Formats: sequence, structure tokens, C-alpha cells
Amino acid sequence: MAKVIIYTNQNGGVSVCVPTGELPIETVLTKDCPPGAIIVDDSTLPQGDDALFFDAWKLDGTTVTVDFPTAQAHYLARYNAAAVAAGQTRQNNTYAGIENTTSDSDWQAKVAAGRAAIASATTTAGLAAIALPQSE
Amino acid sequence: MASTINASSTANGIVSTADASGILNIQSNGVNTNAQAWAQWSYASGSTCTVNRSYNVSSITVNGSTNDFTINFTNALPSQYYAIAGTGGQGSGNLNCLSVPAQQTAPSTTSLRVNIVYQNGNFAGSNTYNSVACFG
Repeated sequence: MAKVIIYTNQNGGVSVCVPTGELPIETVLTKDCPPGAIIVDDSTLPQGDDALFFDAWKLDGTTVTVDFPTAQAHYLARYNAAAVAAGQTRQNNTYAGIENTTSDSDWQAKVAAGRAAIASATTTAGLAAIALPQSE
Repeated sequence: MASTINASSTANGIVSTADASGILNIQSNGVNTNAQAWAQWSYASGSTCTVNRSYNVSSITVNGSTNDFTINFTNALPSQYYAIAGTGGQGSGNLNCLSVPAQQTAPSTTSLRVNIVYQNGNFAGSNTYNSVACFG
């Protein structure tokens, strides 16, 4: 496993500094990173579904965890953006005389159900399992 | 970094030198013509960044899943007014571009913050062939 340097960034999230090997990692720590940055083995960073929510990582001491409410909020924002894009495609289809495969009411109900599932999710695996809206 | 200094002068004014830090400067009439630093890296997702090859780059920091990277130079560049060239990697059906600067962070002599974005300005996803080179 490789050593990396982590620290809390200006957004409150975690930045991960990957040395190239030109300099010793201890030199990179002091030269490229702010005070408080620490060297860790990258295998200790969140893995699996937790790794998908990098922007919701939080550094507490020497441990990085996922702040679940933040992950939930980020995924909802991503979900809504996908819903808007898919909705625009559906609308374009309508204007172009191309029939959407799912009725507007069914599609809206499906999107609403996904949004409710995000609100009730309790794990990152649960969030990651909720598919983003697509034009149908 | 090696600190071998080779110098030669030719009739057309091209001079090859290296400063005390070992950065090779090929100059034409006093202007550096070669890359002062470059790097090629891949980004999978989350914090997973692999620096494949580099020159005068001590580390690359991943600042978030929005393809926000800081390139940290091993030795400071002569000026912050360097020319930047690069690629935005390989996307899945999207044109990825290198965007500078990221987060309104102006290029400095010690680091360069970049984004990899889709052609519409949205942040790109995982991509394999990111690169940047700084001249001047």
C-alpha cells in the first residue's frame, strides 16, 4: 500500500496528496501541505461505497470517515441535477414528436420515489444503490 | 533531483543550462523554451490518483471528486506567468478538457491548481490520461 498525505481542506472536506517520489514524503508533507497534515497508508482511507463519497469525507484525528448527512445532501444534489437533465431530454423528445417510453406521471413518480429513498437511506451502500434518473 | 550542469552555446543563441536545483533550461536569447515541469496522471474516482510520470513535480493533491487537482512543483518555477498545456484524459463519450485555474486559484511559482471538465463545463468523472506541462 502507498503512503499519502491527508488534511482538512478549505471546504471542510479531505484533500489527499500523492507524492511522485521525487522528494521524500516527509519533505512533501512540509513543503506541499498545510500544518496539521498527516501521512497515512492509503489502505486506511474509506473503501468501497464509502470511497464514492469522497466529498463527504471528514478527518477526525487520524481517521477519515464519511459524514453521512453530507453524503446524503451531495447525492440528492447530484440526483436532482440528473433529474433536470433527463427531464429536459424528455421535453425535447415531446417537442420533436418522439414518444417517451414512460408517461410523465409515471416518470415523475419514479423520480420522487428515488428522492424519498435518498432521504430514508442510512448507509453509503444504500445511497449508491439508488439509480440516478434517466430519460425514459 | 540531479544537479548536473551542462552548458553549451551555439551561434543561434540556444543555450542549455541547469540551475542549482537541477532544472534543465534550454534558452533561446535568454528565454526558457522547454517545459519547467510536467506530469501525467490518472484518476479513477474518489481519492484514487496515480501519478504515472513527472518532472519537477513533487506531488499531486486531489481536492475533491470534482476533478480538482493541485500540481506541486519540486523546485519553484522562474515566474508565475508560465504557459500551460495539457490534456483532460479519456472520458466515457465526453470530451474532457484541462481547465485552469481551478477554484480561482491563480497559478503560482510553487503550484498549479487545475480542473478536468467536460466540454459543457461540468466536472468530469474518472479519466486516465490527464497531463499538464508548464513552459516559461
